[in-house]
Amino acid sequence: MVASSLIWRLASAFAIACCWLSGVMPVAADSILAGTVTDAITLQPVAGAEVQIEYSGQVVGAGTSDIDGFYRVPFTVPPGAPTVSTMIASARSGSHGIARSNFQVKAGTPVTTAHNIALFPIGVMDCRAQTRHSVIVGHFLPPDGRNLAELSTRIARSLEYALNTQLQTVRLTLELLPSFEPCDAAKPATTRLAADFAKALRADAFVGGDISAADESSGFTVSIYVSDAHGLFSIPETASNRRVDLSNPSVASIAGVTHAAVLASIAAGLAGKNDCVSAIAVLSVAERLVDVTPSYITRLRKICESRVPNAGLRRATQ
Amino acid sequence: MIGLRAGWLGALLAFTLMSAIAGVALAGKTNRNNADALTELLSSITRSLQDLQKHEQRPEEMLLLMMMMQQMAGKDVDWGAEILAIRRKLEETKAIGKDVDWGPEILAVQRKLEETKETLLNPREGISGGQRERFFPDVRHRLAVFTFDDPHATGLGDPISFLLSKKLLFSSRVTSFAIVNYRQGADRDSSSDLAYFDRVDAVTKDQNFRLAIWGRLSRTERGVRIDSFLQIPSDAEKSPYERTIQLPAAMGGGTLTARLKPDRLLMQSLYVDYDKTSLLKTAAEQIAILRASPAVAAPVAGRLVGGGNDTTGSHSILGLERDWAQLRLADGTSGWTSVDQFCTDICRSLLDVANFANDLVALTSGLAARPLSKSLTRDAETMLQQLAALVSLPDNPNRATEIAERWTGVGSSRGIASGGAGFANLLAVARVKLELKRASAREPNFDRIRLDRRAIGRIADRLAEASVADPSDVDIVENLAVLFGYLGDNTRRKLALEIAANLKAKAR
Repeated sequence: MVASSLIWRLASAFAIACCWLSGVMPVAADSILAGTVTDAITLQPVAGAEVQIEYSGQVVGAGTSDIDGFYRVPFTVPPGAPTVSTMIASARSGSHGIARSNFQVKAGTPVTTAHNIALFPIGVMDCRAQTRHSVIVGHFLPPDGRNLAELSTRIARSLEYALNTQLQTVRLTLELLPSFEPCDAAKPATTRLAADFAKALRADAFVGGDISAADESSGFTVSIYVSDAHGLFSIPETASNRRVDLSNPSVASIAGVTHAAVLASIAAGLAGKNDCVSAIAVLSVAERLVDVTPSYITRLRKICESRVPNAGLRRATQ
Repeated sequence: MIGLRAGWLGALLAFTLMSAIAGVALAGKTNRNNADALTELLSSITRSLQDLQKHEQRPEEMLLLMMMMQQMAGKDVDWGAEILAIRRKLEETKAIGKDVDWGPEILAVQRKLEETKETLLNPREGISGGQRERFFPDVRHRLAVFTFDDPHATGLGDPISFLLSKKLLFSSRVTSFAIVNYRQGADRDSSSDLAYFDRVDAVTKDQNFRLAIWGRLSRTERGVRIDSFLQIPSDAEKSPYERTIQLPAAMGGGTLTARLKPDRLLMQSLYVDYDKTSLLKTAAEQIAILRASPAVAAPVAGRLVGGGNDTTGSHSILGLERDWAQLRLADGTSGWTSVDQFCTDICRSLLDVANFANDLVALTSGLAARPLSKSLTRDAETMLQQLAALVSLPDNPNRATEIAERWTGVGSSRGIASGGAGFANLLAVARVKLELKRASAREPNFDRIRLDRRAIGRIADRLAEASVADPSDVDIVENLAVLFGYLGDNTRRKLALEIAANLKAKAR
């Protein structure tokens, strides 16, 4: 702790020096903003993150997070200043993107002194969808150093094309249709972490995978896994897609079990928003795509069936 | 492109009958006796029937033939009066409410056995919300085929819809049949806030089509995947896909409704290798060429949509010969074309979609469905079976029950299968109908019939399970409200009405 405290002090001194050199003259600090900087996906602390506080376009305070991700930034704003100031945080290592958020100030003092910050890995923040339901299609580990960055996009388009058409057969309204966001920057270290990506990006599911260089003449084997943000799968659902032609940029074939897992995740998202009627409609599509209904679909269907108002139409003794 | 088929069989029948009439009239003038005339007439009709049996015959046409024969037997015939009498009999049959689905084409037969027309148009129109039934409003079976959605630019969207619309037209099993092929209609427009399904729905409902066909094309590793969809108007009331039964006044007099579900269906997913995709385009191009005679090598006489001077896109069918159809364009040009001659190999599999749609239409006209092609989906088979049960419901609830029982359980191990809710609802309605039929034998006054509440209770409980499995089915909850009303279960009746109202509000 002594070491971390020393680092923090040094960092603070460095930040103040930076402000000085950049022409921002710190004034006597009479307020402090503090909190923790963490990785939005892993929730681990981010050390060495630079935190700046802006008021009216001017930097009025700066600090750096310590090894525990803790930061403490003294700052001053005029007593009559607007009630909102902006805090900007960025990881010095460049591993994470910049986070910007506002906080409330009253009479020059933050209403809440603890202000935690979540930093997304570079490029991942942009993958967050604006739709109510989304699926993140992350990085696919290529064989022997090939560059296959476009594969996430191809798989996202393929999923969107196949599943949204299917979902329209059960009259799922457009606002409930999921979006499929390609996100090659999303590279979970393990498949289990993929669920954290989904949660952090407010998506229902995360799709990723790896590619085996089989016999190139007959295509590649693409292993696709699906993790969900709602605890539906105890382990990610994985399926193997054989003989995929990676040289053809317009296509990517995906197995029915993968489709079913993605749909079940979306259904879980709908159920989480108390829309079990739509969730059951989505599950009915998933059930048609597989020969044997997976237990997670059966489980979710039972939960949803008990929640729909139609359950009240059953005889009381049933 | 619009196609109207309204009875080449009718024309053949008219020709046959008129020939027979002329023959007998001539016989009358030459004092030949009625028995000879009748023998000649019967043999003429027999020959005609043999010809007609090569094609599936409409029930009303068969009935008309039989009535003609009955009318003529042993009489010194006054043919004008006889035809009038036949018309009256047909009217009487209609008036007593016998469940024979006559439709406009039989009216055409009644109007001097007039030859019905077959026409194709290519309106190139979008979703206009314009005049309802703009094309061929008097036609009974009006179908639409939409260009296939083609986001990967395979170039097959129009050729495939053209092929299917021609196959539908040339091999229709019913008369009074129209096809509207929206080549440039509900085209892909990413800016629209309507899904393709919904746009097709909008046109289908606006123009009151009985069903619509469209599809989506996507590239695969080795070629193109063709997904063909069928949809019927979502809220079509009094449609051929719906049957209702009335409960006796003593049971509350409510109405139970059975409707074909689902109303959006993937009929076929066909994978075509890249080197075979040209077959589809070539077939469409060849079918668009009119030939001077029904032969592949015959000289070119004209061209259908996509070329030539055909500005309106309309053409009438003059006749059929084997696989060939003789068409007349709006500018008077006529010639022969064929789908089966040019659509071979993998293209032939695609035609299963048109055959399936024609079978659905035929079922609603009282004809039997043919065995389903293996290239079609399980859902397609489900729909065909459900429709067979549905059309049996009014007159043969036993058969409806048998089919529904067989199919309700399909997929039950994994929740509600496609069409499962539809079958469950149909089964409930058919069982009530069956009970009513049995009770009618004991109680001639229908409105005094009261079915056993325990039996109705069991039906309602099963239906409630179906409602939970598919909570978005409005018909089921409305039927439950009726049944709970009879059972005196006001709590569940009220809940069912409330759910139905919410579902309807959501659908709007």
